Amino acid sequence: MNSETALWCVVGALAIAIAVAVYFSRGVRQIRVRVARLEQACADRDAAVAQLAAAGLPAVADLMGDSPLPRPAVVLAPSLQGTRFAGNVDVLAQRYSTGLRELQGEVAEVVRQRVQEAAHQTTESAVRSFAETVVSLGANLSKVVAEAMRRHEGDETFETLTLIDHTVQQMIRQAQSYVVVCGGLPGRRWPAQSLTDVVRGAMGRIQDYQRIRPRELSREVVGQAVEPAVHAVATLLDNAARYSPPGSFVDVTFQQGHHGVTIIVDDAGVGMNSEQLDAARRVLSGQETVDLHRFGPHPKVGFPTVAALCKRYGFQASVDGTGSPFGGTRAALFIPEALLTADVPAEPTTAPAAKGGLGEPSEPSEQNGRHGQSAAPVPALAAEAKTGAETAPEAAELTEAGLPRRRRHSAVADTQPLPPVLSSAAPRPSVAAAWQSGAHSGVPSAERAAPPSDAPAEGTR
Amino acid sequence: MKRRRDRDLVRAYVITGGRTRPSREMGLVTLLVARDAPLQGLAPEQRRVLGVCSRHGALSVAEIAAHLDLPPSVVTILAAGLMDSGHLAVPAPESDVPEIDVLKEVLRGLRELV
Repeated sequence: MNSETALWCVVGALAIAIAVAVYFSRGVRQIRVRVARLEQACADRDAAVAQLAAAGLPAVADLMGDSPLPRPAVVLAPSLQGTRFAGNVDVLAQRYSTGLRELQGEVAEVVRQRVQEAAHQTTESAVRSFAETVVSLGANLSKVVAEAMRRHEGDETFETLTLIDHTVQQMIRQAQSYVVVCGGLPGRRWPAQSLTDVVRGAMGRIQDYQRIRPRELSREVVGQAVEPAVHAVATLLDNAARYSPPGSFVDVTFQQGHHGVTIIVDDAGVGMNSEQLDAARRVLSGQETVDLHRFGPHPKVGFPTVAALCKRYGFQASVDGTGSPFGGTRAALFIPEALLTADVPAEPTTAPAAKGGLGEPSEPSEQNGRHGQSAAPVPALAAEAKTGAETAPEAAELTEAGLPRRRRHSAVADTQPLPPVLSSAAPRPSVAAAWQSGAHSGVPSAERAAPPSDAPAEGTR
Repeated sequence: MKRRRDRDLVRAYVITGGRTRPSREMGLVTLLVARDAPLQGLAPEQRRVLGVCSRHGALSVAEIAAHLDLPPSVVTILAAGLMDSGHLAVPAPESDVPEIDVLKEVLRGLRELV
């Protein structure tokens, strides 16, 4: 009984042991299979990533130039198709591609700007240096012409020199506009000048200067602002004269304010429409900067030049479509107090407009009639004489660089006593007449003596 | 008032108002005296010419040019214009001119001598 019981126990235990063994051995096999599958999957993923890194992504960089947005080729084992890994790899590759594209765009933009900037600077400095050369040569030439006018006599010589001078002055103005637009400075230096002479200096630089009717103002512009002011006024005058009928006048007046003086230019032209006015205001206020590359074949450098001068020197320029009393355009240039000399001259501030710069000889009666009420011409004359006489004592001035400024010797002779013959206080008509008659009779007689054919004929009669 | 003029800023043709020839025949030695006439309506250089003439009495064109540091041609044109408008005149002696009969007599005497 005991042995039977023991046998059954052993058999039972054996059976359980076999069952357990079978169960575990099956489990091990399953685990082995799973491990092998996972290893395979892992290898597949490694291969996929390696392929992407080694071939897929570099190929995208190569393809960038050709197609707008190339997708990197992702090679996946069949087992990985449709898995989350596959999705993520795809997203990654796409991100890489778009990121690269963006970066490429940014780099291209930066490079383009740099190149453009460099080209801009090169063009600007080339144009500027060319224009500066023209200005400097022109200034030299105009000095020569001015000297020639003093040296050489004769109406025809003067006429020719005038023609040359007028052309040279316009040439200088044109060239100087380009100097200023290209960031340069107006190169010519003057001593302080009255606003009268600033405007008349500007008149000399435009084509139709005879149509300008300037008023006078003896307030003076400080030396360093003279050339920019003259240039800016010349530009405004040129515009006014250019865009108004040939027979009309352009009036230049002054408005003295608390903060400075405004030079007002009124023309009788067709005026500007609202778009043109807006564009001009944008340029003049400096909101719209000028681009040398966008000037095109017919560059308009006038207003940009004025704007550049305003920015640099503190003038203010404006245009008004309705301000002109002649229905045209009113342009104004404000010169702040800081650019005017401190001493306000005592003489009356405004003189009436000089007709075309000169009293018209054809209508003296009209002039006399118009100004017949003028109170006392003689004191005014004396005052004018006095102002001319006080030019000689001039304190030694220094330039910005600390060098002594070259002094002009204009009108120094005014202070000198006259040569003895004419130094008597009152005019002596007898002496004057004697000289006059001698001069008159002497010249014709000398001329008569010159051609020998005429001389005997005169003598025999 | 101190006045510094730069002779190159305002060009000669602006000073003459665009004229390149005098409106009347004038020489460098033509003598001129200022007349008492209103100054209004005159350009600055015209007033300067009158100023220097009235200060010094009779002046020749060349002297005015030297005083004002202006080219003689410019002064000639200005002075011609001022003569046209009655501001300048050639000084005419009044008392010293001999009678016309005396002159005729002298002329006759001279012819007889020849």
